[in-house]
Amino acid sequence: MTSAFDGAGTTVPVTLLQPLEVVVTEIKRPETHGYCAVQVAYEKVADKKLNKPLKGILAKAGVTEAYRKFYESRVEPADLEGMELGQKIAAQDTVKNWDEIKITGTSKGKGFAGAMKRWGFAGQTRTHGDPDNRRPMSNNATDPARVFKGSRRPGRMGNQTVSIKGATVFEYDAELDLVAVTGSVPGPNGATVFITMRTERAEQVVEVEEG
Amino acid sequence: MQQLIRDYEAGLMKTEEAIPDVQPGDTVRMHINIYEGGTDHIAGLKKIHRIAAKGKERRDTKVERVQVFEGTVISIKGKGLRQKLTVRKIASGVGVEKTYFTHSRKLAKVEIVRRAKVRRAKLYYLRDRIGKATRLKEKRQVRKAEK
Repeated sequence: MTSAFDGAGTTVPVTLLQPLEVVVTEIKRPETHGYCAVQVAYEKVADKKLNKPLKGILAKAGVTEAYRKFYESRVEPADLEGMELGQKIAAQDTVKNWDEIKITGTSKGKGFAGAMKRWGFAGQTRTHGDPDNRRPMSNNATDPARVFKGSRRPGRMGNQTVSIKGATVFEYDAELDLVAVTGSVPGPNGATVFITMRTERAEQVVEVEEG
Repeated sequence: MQQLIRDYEAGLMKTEEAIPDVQPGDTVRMHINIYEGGTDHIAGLKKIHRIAAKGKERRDTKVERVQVFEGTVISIKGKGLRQKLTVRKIASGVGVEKTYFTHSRKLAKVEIVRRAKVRRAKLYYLRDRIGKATRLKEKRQVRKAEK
């Protein structure tokens, strides 16, 4: 994360995202698959890093470079027109200033976290001699002799898929090839996040890496 | 990644010539750009959206007028893109402090009027003083290295 200035000189918190090159590997149509979707590949690697099944998928689409990650996005039928196998989609074609977007990624893992951190419990009083002021609260009734599902207790926190809704694209820096989005995004530095553009027709997905 | 952030920030920063070497204790004249309109009228917006909307609206908004604020630099906080400048003066008997990001477009220009010899980086003790006690010893000689 960093900050930027808007036109009037006011500071805006932004996160810089580096768009990854995306190549169309499969177009799923209702006639063949029963639904509309576009499968794309991203993250270029050396050719020897890929196994034969992945190479097969790329070869079928006529892609000569090696990509190791894939993503499929459901799209509206109208958006399939003009899509070709092996077509590259660049961020500058999709990203517009002040577009409202949804950012999906994996949050930072917090490990085994207590109830105060994980669920925002208030804990007990810190003073007046309380010996255990961060322990979980009541453990429900003893009668059922089991723990009810969904009880808010200590446990693994983070490392989950999280979406940030209502973020906006602050700007696209063509020179550095960076997308600046307002606010924070899930995950550590260098994590991969998915941006869903909210357009009138449908959603288009661009894969980007946090920078 | 860190380098990319630095590159991006470098693009937003004013050039070194545009920002004089201001030190705490300096008497400066800040030229502040005043823009039209506020954003509080846009109801139901979260702060972040209000900022976003403002930027959108004001991207090409012209500066309405320039205000000049003359006072003593009492604090310089942060560095790089997020460096802030706090200037204090007594206006009609009331202490007024203004803080701006040095690299923000809100700050059109900073002129150094007078430099003073001070022994602290933060001159917060001036807040407790009035009148003659707020005087600072002037640094008359320009450093030889500069001339």
